[in-house]
Amino acid sequence: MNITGKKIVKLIVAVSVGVWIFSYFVYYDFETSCFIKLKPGLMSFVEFNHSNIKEGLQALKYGTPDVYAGVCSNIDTIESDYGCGGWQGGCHYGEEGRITLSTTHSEFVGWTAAIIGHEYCHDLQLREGRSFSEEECYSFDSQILQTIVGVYPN
Amino acid sequence: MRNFNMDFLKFISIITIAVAVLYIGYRASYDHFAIFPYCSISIREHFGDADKNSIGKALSLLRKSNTESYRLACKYFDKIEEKRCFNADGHIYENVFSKIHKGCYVKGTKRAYLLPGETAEQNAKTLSALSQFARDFWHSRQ
Repeated sequence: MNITGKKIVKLIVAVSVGVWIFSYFVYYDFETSCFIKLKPGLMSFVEFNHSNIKEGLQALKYGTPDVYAGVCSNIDTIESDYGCGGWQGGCHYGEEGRITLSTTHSEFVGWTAAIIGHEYCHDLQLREGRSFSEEECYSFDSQILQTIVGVYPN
Repeated sequence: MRNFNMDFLKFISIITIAVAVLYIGYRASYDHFAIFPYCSISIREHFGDADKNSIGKALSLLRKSNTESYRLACKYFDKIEEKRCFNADGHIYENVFSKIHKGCYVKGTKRAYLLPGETAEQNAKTLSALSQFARDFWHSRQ
């Protein structure tokens, strides 16, 4: 088999495009075996990437590992769409494992992480058969913010 | 066949060098980019600030006056943005923006945020503190 430079370049391009497309639709973290589908919605047309959502998840991973583990175990789909939470907000429409998030790459990533935590809190309420409480989840996301955001001056 | 491959490799090399030159030119114009010591940080300024490029100037100040902090900033940040930080939910804590912070670092990311409208000198001081936060955070995980 004669492998030419052109073939190698074609192969590299094909693999790169494949990885790029895959990473657009999936958040993957092999270290913790965390895989979450990223479903494109209205916000995905604003910019063709989900970088803020991915960085928000990374902030949870390192800042609040317990919350991250819970998100990875319970949330299987994050929809990037404008929803009931408004701009830079989130929604849980009562379907287990599915949350909606409205964000773009230029937003404050600490807040994005907190919103993921907030919607995860609603998912837990649903799974545990508890009533839907915003107060509990506001408190939950506030704790996440206090943990992961280091401010100066203190 | 051999000549064809050599021409093709030459072509790829020229394209690669041209793309690298354009990339470095672009990053040096709009972001902070230095080769010695290597530093590549995206900058996102707040629209309408009086002091234009205060983040870029702050990084240049650090580079001259506080090389250790500059080195840390280059290592731990890949994006610095002007944006107000908050570390509580306004639904729980009233006046969450009343405690104005000069900047913040979000653990686990490579992003630093600076309060819009600050001078380059203040931003340099804030970046120095934030880069040490980031270093301490990553060291605590080892």
